Amino acid sequence: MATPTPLHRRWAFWLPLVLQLGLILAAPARAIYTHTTGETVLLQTAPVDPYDLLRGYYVTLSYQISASDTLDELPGWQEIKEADRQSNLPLYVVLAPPEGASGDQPWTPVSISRDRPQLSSGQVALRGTYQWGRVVYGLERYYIPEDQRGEINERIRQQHLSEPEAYLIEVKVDARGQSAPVSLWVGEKNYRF
Amino acid sequence: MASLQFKRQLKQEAERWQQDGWISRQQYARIASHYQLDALGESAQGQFTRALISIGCVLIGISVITFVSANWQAIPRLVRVLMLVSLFLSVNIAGVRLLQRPQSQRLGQGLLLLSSLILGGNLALMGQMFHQSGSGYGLCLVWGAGTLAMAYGLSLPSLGVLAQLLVGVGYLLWLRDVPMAGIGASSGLDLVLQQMPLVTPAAFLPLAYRSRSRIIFALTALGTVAALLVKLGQFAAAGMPAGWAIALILTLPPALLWAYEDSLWRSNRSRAEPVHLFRPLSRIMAIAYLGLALYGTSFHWVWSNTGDLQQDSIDSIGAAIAMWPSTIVFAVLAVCGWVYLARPGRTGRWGLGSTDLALLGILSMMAGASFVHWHVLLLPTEATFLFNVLLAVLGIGVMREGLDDGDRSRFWYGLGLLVLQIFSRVLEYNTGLLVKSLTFLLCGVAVIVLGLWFERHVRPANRSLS
Repeated sequence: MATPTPLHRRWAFWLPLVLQLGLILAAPARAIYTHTTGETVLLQTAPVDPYDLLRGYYVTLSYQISASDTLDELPGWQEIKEADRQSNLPLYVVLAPPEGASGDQPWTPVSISRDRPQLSSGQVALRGTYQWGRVVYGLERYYIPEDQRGEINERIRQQHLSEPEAYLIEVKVDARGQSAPVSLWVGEKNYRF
Repeated sequence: MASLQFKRQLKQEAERWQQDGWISRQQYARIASHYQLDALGESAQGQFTRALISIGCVLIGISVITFVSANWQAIPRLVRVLMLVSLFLSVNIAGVRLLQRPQSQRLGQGLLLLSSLILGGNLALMGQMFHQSGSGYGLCLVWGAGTLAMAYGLSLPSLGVLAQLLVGVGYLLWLRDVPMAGIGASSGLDLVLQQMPLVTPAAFLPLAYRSRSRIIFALTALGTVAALLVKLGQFAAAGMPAGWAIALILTLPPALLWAYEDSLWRSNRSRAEPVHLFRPLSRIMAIAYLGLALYGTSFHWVWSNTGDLQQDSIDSIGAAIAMWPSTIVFAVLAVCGWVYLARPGRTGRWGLGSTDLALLGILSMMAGASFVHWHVLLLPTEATFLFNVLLAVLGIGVMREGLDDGDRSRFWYGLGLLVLQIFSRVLEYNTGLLVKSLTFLLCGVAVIVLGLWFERHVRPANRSLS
């Protein structure tokens, strides 16, 4: 049975409270840090299951740079796959901007490594985790606003039939490789996160 | 802690004693302050009003939640964050204010529990609003850590239990979701989870003492043992010889629980407390574990079905030991605990009590037999026989202890173990129907006679002593 907290021990309440507040605000703080300091990168993506989007309140996105077909061609991937026991360790995918000036093309992966690589100018390193033979980046969920669910669902379905490669995600990547999504492009239509 | 009903009666009686001159005014005041009788002042009408106010508050709360959820997407993100944070802070502050008043402690505790749930909701909603798809186990653990901090600050067992449940769920999710959960770490969280057998007691045992909560102690012991078993399982999967792993799985948890020592934790305990706060509970858990382990291994198929478990490579032991510090720590702790049990007492000589000695014998025979069977030489028949004998010895021993102390639950536990053992053996081996019928008959008669005898003679005798 609890004894009432004496008034002279107020810190015993305030200290945990501040800690809890810190935990709550950690996610927004990290997202805001990445948003303000990060480099904008476009990534090719696709919904995992375009015919059953409304299972939850979010779309699960699958990135081109997560798929094993893409990763197989990257230098460094074989070593990571062979060291299978080392799974769940962080890894870094180096991305280069698209050639040419057009800003609506996705960035392309250059290499993959366990340690933070040296980057040449214009490149960014995106941090991910090796899981079950794929790489996840923590960007895999897009929570759909409730009032737009029907519309987005319909647009994604049509886009999937006509031009499946026209899904792009705009993300910010900061110097530590942490990422935060900014917006989702479905064809010509842009949805801010 | 005395119940509310008892306090009411006591107040009524004590007032009468004072009127009749049986006790003095000072004595009444002392009783009243010890049992906090003045806080009972609230009349039934006051309680009714409070209940009405609480129901009203809940309804208003639901209406606010419905209103907000109807317009949630339309509200700017910053405003949403501010709303969530201010809700969290106000419930917390209201809770702690009420906790400080003796007459509204329960309400305060309720509000603080609610605010811990709001903490989890806030963590999840923040992740969702900022599109950070973190892991489920990460959410549970961070939530549990925040709740645990508040449980320590206010010494509230209810928050401690919530934190334990959250950490437990987080651990299970981690085991399910992360491949090769034992090896490699992508974050500090993984490091913590890999050392769960050590982290659990470090995080929760001090809280059990701080809030003097038996349930927190029991859950801590349960969580530690479970995490240790997971660890030993991974240990075996990583190439540790099965003989070692099984011997440790069978004997390490009960050895630890039995030798658990309260006094190490409490250098500055007050004199009013019993010397052994949690040891009785810990020993009950040790016996329960031992009973389960022996019952599980008393079946013949456990020992006849070895497959390719026999593998021994000394190198892998070294590698495994280097990889799993927690197993070593607990093995050392168990040995130290038993040495401490055997320390020179009043007689001035080293030695264990008869119960301790019997238990040590059972544990060493279990460890020895399983190690030899899986590591050196297959002994299917001998091991089955030995474990059945040990199970019977444990059952009879626990019954006897229960009889000596007039402890009904221990007596029935021992009797239950014995009956379960006989039933299982009769059903396991293909005996004739007549033998089966006779066994059931004898068991039934024995249970009835022994039980009635215990309830008639031992309990009243014990009660009259006390």
